[in-house]
Amino acid sequence: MAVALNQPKVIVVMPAYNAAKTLRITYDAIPKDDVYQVILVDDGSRDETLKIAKELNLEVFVHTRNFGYGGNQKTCYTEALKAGAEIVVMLHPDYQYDPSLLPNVIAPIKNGDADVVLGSRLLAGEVVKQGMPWWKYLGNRFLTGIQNQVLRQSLAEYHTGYRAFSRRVLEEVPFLLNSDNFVFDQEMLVQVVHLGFRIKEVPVPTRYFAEASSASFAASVVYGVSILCVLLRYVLHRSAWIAQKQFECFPARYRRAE
Amino acid sequence: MRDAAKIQELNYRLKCFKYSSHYWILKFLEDLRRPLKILDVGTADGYLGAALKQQGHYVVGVEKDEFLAKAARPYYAKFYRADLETFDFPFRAEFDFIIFADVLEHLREPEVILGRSLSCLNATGQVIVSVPNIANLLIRIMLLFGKFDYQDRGILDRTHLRFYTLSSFTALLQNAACRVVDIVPTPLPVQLIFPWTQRPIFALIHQIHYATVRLWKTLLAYQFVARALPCQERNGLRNS
Repeated sequence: MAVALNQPKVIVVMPAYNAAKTLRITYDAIPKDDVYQVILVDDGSRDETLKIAKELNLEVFVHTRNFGYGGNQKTCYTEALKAGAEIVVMLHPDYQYDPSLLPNVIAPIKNGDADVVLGSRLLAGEVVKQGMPWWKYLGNRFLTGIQNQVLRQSLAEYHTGYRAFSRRVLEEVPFLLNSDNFVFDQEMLVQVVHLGFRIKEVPVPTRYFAEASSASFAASVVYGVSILCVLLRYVLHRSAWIAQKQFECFPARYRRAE
Repeated sequence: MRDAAKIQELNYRLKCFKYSSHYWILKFLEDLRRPLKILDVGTADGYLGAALKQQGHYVVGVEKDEFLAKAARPYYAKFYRADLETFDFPFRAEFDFIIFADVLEHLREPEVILGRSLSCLNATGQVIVSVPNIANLLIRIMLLFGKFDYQDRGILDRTHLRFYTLSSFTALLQNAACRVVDIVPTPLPVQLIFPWTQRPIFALIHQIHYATVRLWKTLLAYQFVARALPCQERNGLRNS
């Protein structure tokens, strides 16, 4: 992995859970020239994820038990910051998102046009034809509508697993206070919007196939309800009824004494 | 002593009770990193600057009145005594926030001045603007009885040149090429008019009062506080 001297240090993080079947093709598709390092965090997988990651010579961290998707990302970002990342790209190792589009995803941060970039599946055309179940599509549209209302954004979707963050975002957003579960992603975006960072979307085609990890109907309903809870807590915080620590910038807590 | 008396006379003080305009301005900034670089336009005697400085921000102030400017200067990292109508904002894309706290209603051309100030904002910069609500219930009742009397302070302050409702305030921001992120109402300053209601026993009453203000803000709001972003097309607008 070679990176030119004046290029920002880009680190790809992969939150992995039972991703043995797709890890290798995902990794192979990453454009290595743009990437300084790939970090994989294994969230207690029961398949050969760990073994394959080692074979691929990635920087690997293993959880002592299964903490969940949010818990996995917490380790990912903490380690990426420790490794000196200037741009962190989260990429699912399930090969649902095209890793070769990585230069497009990091470009807005590199150019200083955005602090957070979302690889949006819905901007890339007919996701239902590409294999997203119709009920998932409807749920996604519904939640996106509400989230856009509450956050006063006009994003195509909030549920993508292909995201890039500038270092400053990860230093200021108190992501360790977020959930260890899937709703982590949504909490993160609410925090990002609240703390005034700029979000940009780039289209990313997706592939739905048997091996790609997919949530069941029941799990999706639970996910939807927990997103609504996050939004409710945010509205309470913003209207100064009940303060939530989660939405306060971490460095605002302290400063160097004069 | 003379300065202090003069400032007392001018009546612009920090409204520091809960849900006041200054409460909201500080609230908008509270969760963000420090130090932010803030331009406080129309500082009066520097009450807001003092609070912002205490929070650790880097604040630059602009004020026209000589006496007020003298009082405000110590709270600001940099201070300009200038008339806003002619002030040309000699800053280049450096501020995180510009604050117009109850200022625009005193100006002849608020849109132009607000628009001109936007070039001082950096890429993520925002403006915070507060104005009084002329459509407040009290004013409506007064007008119903054929009265429109200026006062020393409040919505019908003698020095106000402009009056806004929620919709005309939103239009003002849009005309100045801003996209509104958030508009919150503030309640009538009951705590200032009747200081004895500041006792904790009245806290619940103030909460209920504010909840009703939020429910019908066009009628009950005392002021509106807005947070807005400059539009993408602002460069085009300014050049045309």
